[in-house]
Parts: sequence; structure tokens; C-alpha cells
Amino acid sequence: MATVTVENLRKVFDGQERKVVALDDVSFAASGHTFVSIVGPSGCGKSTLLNILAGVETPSAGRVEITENGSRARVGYVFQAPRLLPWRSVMDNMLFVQGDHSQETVDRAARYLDMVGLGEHHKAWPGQLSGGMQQRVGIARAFSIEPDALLMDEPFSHLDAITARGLRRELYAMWQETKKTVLFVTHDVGEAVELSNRIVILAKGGKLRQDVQVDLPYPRDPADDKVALMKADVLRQFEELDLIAT
Amino acid sequence: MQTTAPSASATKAGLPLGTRLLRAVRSPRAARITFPIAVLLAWQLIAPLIPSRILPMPAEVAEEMWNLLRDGVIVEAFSVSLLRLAVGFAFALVVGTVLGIAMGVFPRVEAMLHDFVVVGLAFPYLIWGLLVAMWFGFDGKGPIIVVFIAALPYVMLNSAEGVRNVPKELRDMASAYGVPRGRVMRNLVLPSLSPFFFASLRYGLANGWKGLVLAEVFSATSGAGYTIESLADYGNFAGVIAVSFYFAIFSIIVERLVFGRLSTRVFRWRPSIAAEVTEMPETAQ
Repeated sequence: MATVTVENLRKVFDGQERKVVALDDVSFAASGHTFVSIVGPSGCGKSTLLNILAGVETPSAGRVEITENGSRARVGYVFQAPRLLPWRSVMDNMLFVQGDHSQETVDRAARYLDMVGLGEHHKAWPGQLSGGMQQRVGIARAFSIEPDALLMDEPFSHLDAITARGLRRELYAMWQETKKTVLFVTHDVGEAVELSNRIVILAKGGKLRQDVQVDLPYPRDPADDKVALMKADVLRQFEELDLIAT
Repeated sequence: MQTTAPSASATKAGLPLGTRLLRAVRSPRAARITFPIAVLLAWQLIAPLIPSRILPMPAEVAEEMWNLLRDGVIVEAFSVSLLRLAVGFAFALVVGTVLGIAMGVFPRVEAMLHDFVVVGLAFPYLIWGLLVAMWFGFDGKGPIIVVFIAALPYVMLNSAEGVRNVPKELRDMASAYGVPRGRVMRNLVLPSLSPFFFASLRYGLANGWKGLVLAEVFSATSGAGYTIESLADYGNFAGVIAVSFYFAIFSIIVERLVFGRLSTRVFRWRPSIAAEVTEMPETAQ
């Protein structure tokens, strides 16, 4: 079971004129079969939080850790853009991030490509696929390393509404099947309510402002009354926290 | 063309022959052939009005070209020059790639070498040609050194630029997944360098070639530059133009056969090229 720990995390970027505080004393923890959405306005440090968790950036102060039964966990990362190697085939992109290239690994990669409906496109170059298909490769790539935890940084924000909706369903199904811990950054409150059982609200200046439990049964239909009410409720909290620019 | 799809040729066949011919002649592809032919025609028309020591007739030049080919002069001259080009450029490629990558990675190296590259790009080959003639005389080393000097800054510039252009978001992706360094090098760094490596090859070779020919005028007793100079010394104007045509033909052959094919192969993943590659089985029928 994966455990995500964030303790008194602070990140300051040295800008050209002044220092920019991206994250300010953020603490939270999540573990097991949990889907945590991190919601907030642009520039509140959401992506920085994921980058620090992924080890791409280092914290200025504080501590982050993702562990699996006490040791360092394996982490998959789905980015806002697909981030595929354009000069490598879909399959080679999948293999790029694997620990080894055994037949077993290749079969596993193929299985996850099948799962996102790209079973026929192993040999295609990313440039030959649509944006939604490329993002699917990114999702399959993250799942295919069989990670203990998944980081997702607004993975559907560049896609059209219909494609995004389909991919949300696929993601939900894969999360149910694999029982991972998911940290999902989004600025879309509706998306957060539809997918997550917990919503963390970050404010501008990188302060953690609210931790909301979403106790609604899955699967959730965004058109369902309870889901809509919950969305309205979270938005009201945004209002109360004075997070909405006027 | 026989390779067009059946439906397309059916509609085309419906058009009168004249219209089809006119369309073929007007197509952008045909312009590659039709324009040079038009230039030749214009030359043929204008040449009789001008004294032949200023502008020889196309037929005279063609005859000179044939003579140069038949006597083996042109093959001999180009093979000597190409060997020099290959040696000088190979050194430039190795040294320039190493220095260029160092410039891209270390700001201090960039600061040290930047002005040398800028000067190198603009420095007249004539000066290098004269200098190597004074240093090495006519023993043939001079032109090789000029090739090296002429190509080096282009290779350095493009290698440095290539290193700076390895996409950061892909690097971050690799580091988030903990991909080992060697695999990142092979699958991410080298492929993203390849357009710049191509530019290195293309501009480095082209400028090395220009420097070479000039250096051969001053400091060699063989090669393409020497050949054109001796024809000029004899006042053989048609001969000079004939050799110039060989230069032109040579660069087109290199572009089509080497660079064109190589880049289609290396960049086959690019969307426009990828489309052509996938279409190929159909058009090959």
C-alpha cells in the first residue's frame, strides 16, 4: 500500500526580480486506494507539488515521501501534455520508462495499450496520432510500470470535452482495477468531484486551505444531482476562501 | 504519372491532352525542370548578341564539359578535392561537435568560444587561402586546413544549439520515471540533436567546399579549384563555365542523393514525412 507524505513543504523560486513562493508550509498525507484531487487557481503551485513528489524538483524546505511498505515507491506520472518521444514509436515510448525490456515487460506494455484502446497502434509515431490518443499513450505509460502511486497533472485539460469525458471514465475504471493511490491536479472542480474521494484546495501563494471528503458512491455521473450539488458546495468553499478573482 | 490512384487518373483522363500537359508543366514539381530549361533557352537567345569572350554559347560550354569528362580531367580534379574535403571535414566534425557540445553545456566555454565562432563564420576564406599558401606552399595540406577552418564554426554553432534544444519537458519526464542515463542519451538527447547535426553536415560541408576550392587556387597543383584557375589562366572562358556547371551538378547530386534521402530516413517520424512513408506501399505498386 502506497503512502504519500507531505510535511511542511515549502518551495521558493528565485525569479529575476523577486522570489516567488510556489508552496508555503503544505502538509497532507494520503494512502491506499485513494483518489486525491488537488484543486486551485493557476499559479497556486499545484504542478510544482507534483514535480517535487516526482523528484524532478527539490523542495526549499520540508519533506516529501512516497513509500510502499516502508521502501521507496514506484511512481507513474501523467503530464498535462503527452510528453512522448516524437522519434520513437508508441511501443518504444512505453518501453523507454520500463526497468527492463524482457518479453514479460513488452507483453505488459502491450496489455496497457490495449486497455486504452491503442492495441493497433504499437508501431505508429506519436505525430500520427490525435491529441487524445497521444494522451492515452501517456496514461498507459504511467500504468504500465505498475506504479504504487500515480501523479497526474491536469491530464485532460488540453483535450476537447468529449474526449476528456471518455478518458475520465477509462481512468476511473483503471483506478478501480489497479487500486493505486492517485494524486490528481486539476483546476476543474467538476472533474475533481466526479473522480476523487478527497479534494485538497490550494490557494494562490501555495497555501493549503481546505481538505474536503467526497463521500459519494462510484461511478459518478457528472449530471447526477448529488454530484452537481457537491460541485456547487466545493465552489462555494472557493468563494468563502476568497479564491475567486473578481 | 503511373503512380496516381485509379480514381484520380480516371478524372484526369477525362480532360483533353492539352489541358493535362499544361497542368503538368505548371505543377510546382515540374518547375524544377522547366525553369532551368527556360534559363538555358534565354542564354541561347541572348548569347549571340554578346561577344563570346564575355558570354560563350551553350554549345561551346557543352563541348568543353564533354572534353573535360572525356579526358578524365574533371573526375580526377573532383576526386582529389573530395578526398581533401572528406579529411578536413572529418576533423572539423569531431572537434566541432566536442567543442560545440561543451559550449552548449558549460556557460564558461560558451563565453570563451562565442566570439571565435562569430568571427569564424564571417572571416573571408581568401585570407585563410593566402595564409596556408604561405605556410604550406603547394603540397596540398593547405586546402585541407582551410576546409577544417571553414567548416568548424558551423559545426560548433549547430552542436551548441542542439544541446540547448533538448526539450526540458522530455528530460523531466525521463527523470520522473528514473530512466537510466545511457537510455536517455540514446533515445532522447541524440535524436533531438539530429536536426542540428544535419545542419552541421549541410552547412559545414558546403562552406568547407567553398573554402577548399579557393585554397586550391592558391596552394595546390591539383583539384577542382586548381583546374578552374588554370582554365582561367589560359583564357578558356567556356572551360571555366563548364567546370562551374560541374560544380552546380555536383551540389544538386549531393543534395538529392545524400541529404534528401538521409533526412527522409532520419526524420521519418515527422508528421508530414510519416504520412509519405505510410503512403509509400500504395504508390510503389
